[in-house]
Amino acid sequence: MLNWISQHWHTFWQTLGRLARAPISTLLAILVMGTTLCLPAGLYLMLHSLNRLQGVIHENPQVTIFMKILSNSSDIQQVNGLLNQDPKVKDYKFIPKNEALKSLAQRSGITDLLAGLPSNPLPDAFVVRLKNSTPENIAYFKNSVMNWPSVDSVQYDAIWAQRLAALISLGRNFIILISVLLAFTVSVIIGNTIRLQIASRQAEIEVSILIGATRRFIRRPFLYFGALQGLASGLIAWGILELCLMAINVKISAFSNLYGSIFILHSFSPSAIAVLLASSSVAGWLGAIFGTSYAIKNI
Amino acid sequence: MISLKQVSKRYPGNLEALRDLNLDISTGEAVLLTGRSGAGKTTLLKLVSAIEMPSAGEIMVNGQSITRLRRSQIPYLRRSIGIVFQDQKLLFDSDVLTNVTLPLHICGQSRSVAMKRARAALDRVGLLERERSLPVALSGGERQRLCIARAIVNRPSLLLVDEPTANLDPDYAKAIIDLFRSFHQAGVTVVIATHDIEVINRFPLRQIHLDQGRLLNHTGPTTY
Repeated sequence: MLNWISQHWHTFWQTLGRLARAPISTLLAILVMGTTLCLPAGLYLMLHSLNRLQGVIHENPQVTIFMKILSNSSDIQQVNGLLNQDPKVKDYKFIPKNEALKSLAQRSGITDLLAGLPSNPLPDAFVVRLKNSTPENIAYFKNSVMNWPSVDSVQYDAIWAQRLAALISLGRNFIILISVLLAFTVSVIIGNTIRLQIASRQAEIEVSILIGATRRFIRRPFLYFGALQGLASGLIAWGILELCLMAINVKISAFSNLYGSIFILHSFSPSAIAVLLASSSVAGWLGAIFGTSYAIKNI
Repeated sequence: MISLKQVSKRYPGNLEALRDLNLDISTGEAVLLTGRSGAGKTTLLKLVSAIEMPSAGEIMVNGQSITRLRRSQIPYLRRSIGIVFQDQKLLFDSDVLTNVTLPLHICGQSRSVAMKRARAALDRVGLLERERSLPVALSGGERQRLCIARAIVNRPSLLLVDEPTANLDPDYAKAIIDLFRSFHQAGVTVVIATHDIEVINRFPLRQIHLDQGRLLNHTGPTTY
């Protein structure tokens, strides 16, 4: 067992030495692969941030109940009572039509125009938050409220949230597809690099086979080479994206502030970093298997 | 140790390198495999070390039938054999010590053990002071001794040597043959393929003479 560990340790350092002895070509290869990995990793970051945004929306869903224009105070009291008794309701707020008009006037800057209206065209409204805000619950609540006689309409701004969810789902599939394709690209690049390395070390491999080396022994340093190059590419991709995030988040933050929200692209979580590095290493390792199994067979 | 029964080897193009060869070499024996170039000496060594497979017949080495060995078992057989190749097959971009430690790394020896044993082998062939030299910096005789060091470093029970004195001065050749004599005296089975008359005349070993792939005769004593 100790010998086995010692052999792997020796091969690992030998492979690092080989990489270090050709720093320019190693760096160029890693940069190419790292940049390639930036695309799926960057898309993942964007999707992850949108996912968080979706989470925020789902945490604070609001249902607005608009009363009929001609509703009177007893109608309002009745709805108030029904909401108060409904176990699905977390809390609610009544917004009288006069207050709504005032608020509209302040926000829109058309005070004079609104002042010229013969009567207030806005209805009284209740803004309700539910305890359980799944789309099914909200739909059920909406249908039941619509049956109340003094209620004119119920609005839940679900459409764009649903669109966002659909977009995220589509994006997730797209990222999986892109990741698989680009991981395959990385594997092919590493496989080809290794194929060329094997060709340049053919004499050494031939001698090793003649004096008793197994195919596994021959393959081992190349597998380390592939995995190490993949790992380094993952690190490069991570580094590039973190730098990009630092640069772009300032602009995104300023832009989202204009819309009264705080949206930034979040950086990698520790688990995401682990997945990125592990998957890039595995891609490199698979490329090495592909490269060696083809090339060593022909020696 | 080595037993060949009705062994033939045919290469593509119907080129017959060996024909119906029957041969036995005992454990601890030293033999000279003689014959002109193209007689089949190298082919015979390649068959015994499973570098080539016979077209017909059976070969036993160390009690193992080479023809029945699985492909995955061949490396393990080769590890028990020390081979000195005619074309040396050295790693020219690695130093002397790395060349000699290679068989030990292949066998899974730790780095420290490999270094120790490689230095002992280099000391045995008189190359210890050249351990950091590249093979290109060595003379012909030194390179041959390096090949021998690599072949013996795993302490094999069988040593196959192909034309060890080719292109060497007589003094170097004598030193090389003396080395094989010492290995044989230590109990190693040694098979030396040569067409060097000097070597054949100097050392009274049992001779296995090949001509056009056929065994012509056995001559000479079986031991020193």
